[in-house]
Amino acid sequence: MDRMSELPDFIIHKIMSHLSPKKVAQTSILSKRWNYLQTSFPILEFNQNHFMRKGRLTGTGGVLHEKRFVKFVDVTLGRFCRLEYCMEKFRLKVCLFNLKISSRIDEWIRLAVEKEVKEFDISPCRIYNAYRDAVYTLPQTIFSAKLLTTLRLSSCKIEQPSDTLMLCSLKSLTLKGVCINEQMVQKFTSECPLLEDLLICSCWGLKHLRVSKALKLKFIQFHNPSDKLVSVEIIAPSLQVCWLVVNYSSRLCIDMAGCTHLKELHVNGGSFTDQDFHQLILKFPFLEHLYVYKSMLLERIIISSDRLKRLKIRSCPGLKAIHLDTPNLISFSYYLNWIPIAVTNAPYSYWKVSIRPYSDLDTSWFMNLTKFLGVANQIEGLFLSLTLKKISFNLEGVRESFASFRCQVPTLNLSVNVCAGVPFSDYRALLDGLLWSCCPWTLHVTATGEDEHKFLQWLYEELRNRCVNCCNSHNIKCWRHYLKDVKILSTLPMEDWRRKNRKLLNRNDDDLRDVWPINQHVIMSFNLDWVQ
Amino acid sequence: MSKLGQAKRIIFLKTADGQLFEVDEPVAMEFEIVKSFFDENEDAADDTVVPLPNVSAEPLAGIIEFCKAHVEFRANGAAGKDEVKKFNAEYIKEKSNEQLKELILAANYLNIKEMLDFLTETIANRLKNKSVEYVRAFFGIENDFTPQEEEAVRKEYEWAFEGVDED
Repeated sequence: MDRMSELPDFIIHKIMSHLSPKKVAQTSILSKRWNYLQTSFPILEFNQNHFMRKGRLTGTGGVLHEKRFVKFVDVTLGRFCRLEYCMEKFRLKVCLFNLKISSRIDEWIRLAVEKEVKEFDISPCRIYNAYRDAVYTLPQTIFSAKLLTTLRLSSCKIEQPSDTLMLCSLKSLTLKGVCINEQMVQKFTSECPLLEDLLICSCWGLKHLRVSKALKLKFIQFHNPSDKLVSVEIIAPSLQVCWLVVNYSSRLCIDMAGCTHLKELHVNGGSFTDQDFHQLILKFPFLEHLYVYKSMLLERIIISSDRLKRLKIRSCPGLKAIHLDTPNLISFSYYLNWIPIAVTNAPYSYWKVSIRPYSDLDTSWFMNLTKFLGVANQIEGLFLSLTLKKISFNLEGVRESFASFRCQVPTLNLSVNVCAGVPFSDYRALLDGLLWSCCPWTLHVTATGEDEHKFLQWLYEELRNRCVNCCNSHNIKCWRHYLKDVKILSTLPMEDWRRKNRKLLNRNDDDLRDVWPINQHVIMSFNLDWVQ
Repeated sequence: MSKLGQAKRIIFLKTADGQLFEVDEPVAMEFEIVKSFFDENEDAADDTVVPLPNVSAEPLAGIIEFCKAHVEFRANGAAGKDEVKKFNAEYIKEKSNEQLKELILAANYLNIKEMLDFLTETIANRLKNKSVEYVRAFFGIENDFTPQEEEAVRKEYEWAFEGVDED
């Protein structure tokens, strides 16, 4: 006899837990023992998708598949329930929901609860439009699942029970596209004593979000882009991480005074005034990470904190000034269309700055850029995404304001869109301005199309063939006088470049995608050697 | 038992094929079977040899290598990080299916939770997209269904054998 057959059931179940439901079902045919192992496998996963063939979703084909699916779930679940096992997980995905199947789902949930299920994942989806009006209403039996630790629901309706919830083991609750009212959310948070994670995403029926008496709650993620939401009130003394993704044009009343231990806050939308924003931030003395996105009205960000470590600001179009008194800030990341004024006390922070300007670039733009970057201790990377229209730069205008030519940005990443018909010589002003304000050691330039490739060639020639018969009577001269040498480091397709530089940039994939969309781009990297 | 300043305690393990292994205490205590041996024999002498009649030298050496690395990862606070994943991937890359089977049998006997988690996942990955016959051969399963029985089971799980889309 093969010694592998000595492996105990629980190890084989462990192996099965890493296989797809289909593969698990296939093991039933291996032998009688495996057939039993499959029957007793405590993770029950049913996906109606597996029962459908393409193009046969409606009409008699659909009905037939639905019957097959219902029968399979009935039989499999029935067989499991006759065994002396507890259920680990019950996962159900119904993609062709109608009211007929609804009573079956009720029964399946009842059986799973009886078998002391620990993890529920139910999505009676309505993605096929045949039964658009039908919504599954969750049966009340689910609220008596005492051993349930994880509950994930999507596309269904939750009606509020009059009794107290018995979900005394529930740690994690996820609601996606669920119809729920504010009292029910409040009930979940106040009556599930162990609740730690709460995710509410695109749920309907909520005008107010009220989370109260959630003593163990550590993590909240709330996505509600609807403009019907009026207020958010969270009282959760243990809360560590909070994501609020809300409509960016409607003004929202947010009260999070009861979350004094918050460490990480992501705010997306919300239309804060300066006053609202600063009052909110003041409530969190232990805040270490702050991410602000799409805050349309915000004009000033003033933060004074010796705890703050990471700050990210993105798409806040009205932002004019940033004041940071954050001595322990490690990273500051900024992604916007214009350059604000910055005043900082953040001596150890690394800056990542992405700017995609709308306006034409002129001398004052380059001066603002220089001033903004000038307050940084260290610029880890500067990403500029430019459409080359009108660019002007006059060195005379800046000579008086700045004492010397110096390196500010070790790595400059440039992504350009060339406008047809403009001679490249018009872009000399761009080079003059950028190299003067950044003076990078490494320059990465992305070329997206034919014109951009020509631009690259022009750029390289321009860097190589420098004529220094200028600036003779001035102490501060243009970049041409300081550049000793230029070398091409590499020319790589986008994908290779990203792979090679991932560590260097310490950014994850998504971040980079934001900066440069993937196409058949080429990135050319130059090494610039400056006179010290 | 081991006090501060004292030399590291060494545990002696003897395999089925008669080989003696000297293992650092924290690594040996990863093996539930060794741990309970000492829990039950509290006054066992320091040079007690723990007999492991169901494990031979080759898989044991592999298991010690794995556990040693993971004990260190935990001590360095690297648990769950990329370097652990990298080590695991390297560790398993050169192992044949036969070696993998020997490892899981030994890890099961020694009762090492972390290693079992890792090995079960590895096995599952190697069985993905493999035929029923391949899986039978891998586990040494003898098909004890009659053709009629097999046909009935196949019919019941028809959906799992159809070329339908994965989700």
